[in-house]
This record gives sequence, structure tokens and C-alpha cells, in this order.
Amino acid sequence: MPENDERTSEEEERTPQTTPGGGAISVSGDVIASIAGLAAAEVEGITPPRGGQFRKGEAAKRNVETIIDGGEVRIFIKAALIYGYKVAQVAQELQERIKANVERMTGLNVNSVDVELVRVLFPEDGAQEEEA
Amino acid sequence: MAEQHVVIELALGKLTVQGEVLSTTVTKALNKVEGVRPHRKAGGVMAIFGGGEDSVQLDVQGDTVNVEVRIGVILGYPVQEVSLAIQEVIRGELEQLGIAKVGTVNVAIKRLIPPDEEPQSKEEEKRDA
Repeated sequence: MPENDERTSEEEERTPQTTPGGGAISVSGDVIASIAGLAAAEVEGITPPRGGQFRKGEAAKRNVETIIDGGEVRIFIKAALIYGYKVAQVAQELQERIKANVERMTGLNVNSVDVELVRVLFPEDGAQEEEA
Repeated sequence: MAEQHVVIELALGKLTVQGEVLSTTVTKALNKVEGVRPHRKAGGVMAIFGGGEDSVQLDVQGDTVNVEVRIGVILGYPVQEVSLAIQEVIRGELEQLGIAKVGTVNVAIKRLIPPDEEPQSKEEEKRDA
């Protein structure tokens, strides 16, 4: 995850497109984090670090950071692996899903999706418990 | 025990796997082997295998993970067979993660446990963890 002074999740990015009205389109980092969180929720084999479901809105920022720079987006996501799933396979699917969803919904180019797996959760220990 | 992590470059970015993922996987593997117990009387299975200071040690060298575990074996179980089983199951579990090669798996037998020694209940294990 990037250092505090690198984070620009509050910064808005102006896309190259202009609206018919001649204005600019802005996408906030929080929106990107939300989209990434929702994309992560579609991937089997991972959960937020404490279990439960990836959330949208403010809660998404807990596990997703974004850096927006010149039309390019870098995304950092923390997650837990559910025991039994192959790490590389799950991570790759997560990266692809996040990239595709963010690019489709925002028009921005996703440069990279860095994934950090911080722990393993076991289904019998409540891997699906709601995150606090 | 210093936590180590594995970093892999994937096509779309970096994948970092924290040491806890690896050590938890090793712990899970140990729990599958019969005849294996904590080597201290106090402290449950999780305290030794998952939370103990020296119970599970990982050494990540590039894309290879070397493992050392310290255990007790119940008297009557053949030590060599138990150790071989431990090595095999740990190797299998880590390889199943699919992120790193498994180098050496060292098994240190720290004590023999009388077969009539009562194992801790799950509640006691959680309390001691």
C-alpha cells in the first residue's frame, strides 16, 4: 500500500473527454475504490482482511487505495485468501476484474492493480463473518 | 519470528503474500498429521503452531520458502514416520498455494508426549493462543 503522502484517493481526476456542454468529467478516487471493492466481491476465494464482503462507499477505502496520475490509475487492494483457493489464480482474476470494471465504468486507464494478501481465512472459522 | 512475505510480479501488478498466509497454511497442515502435539504442556495447538515464538519459522529466499517446525510427538508414534508425514503435508499445502517453491522442511522434535496426557479442549487452546 502506498505511503500516506502518495495517496490521492481524495483527489479528482479530470478525464480527457469533455461533455457536450463543454465541461470536464471528474472521477474521485473514492468512486474508483468503490468500483474496485464491488469487483473484488465478485471474485471467489477472497474476502476483506477480516472476512465478510467487500463494500462500496466509505467502507471500500478501508481496503482499497487509489493513485490517479495523468489519466492513469494505480490501485492497491488488501484482502484475505479463503483456504483452499490457489493464490496466484485468485489474485490474477481479482486484478483482471478490477481493471475491467474500473476502465469500463470510468473510462480511465488502469495501469496496475497491486494485491496484498494478509491472511488466510477458513470457512469453518467464519470466513464469511461480517467485517466489523 | 520476523514475518516474511513473498512478492510475485503478475501481468497486471504486484502480488504480495504476507508471512501469516504461509504460517497459517503450515499450521493447518500440521493439524492434519496424527501423533503431533505442542511440545510444551501449557499453550494449545494454535499457540504453538500458529502463535508461538519459535514453533513455525519461515525463511523466504526469492521464490523459495524454507520451513522449520518444532513439535512434540505422542509416545508410540514412530518419530521418523511422523516427521516424513509432516514434511509431505507441509510441502503439499504450500505448493497448493501456487506462489512459491518449497525448499527445505525441517522438523525438530522437541519432546515426547505421554499418550495419556490430556489434550487441551478447543476453548483452552483459544484461550492460550
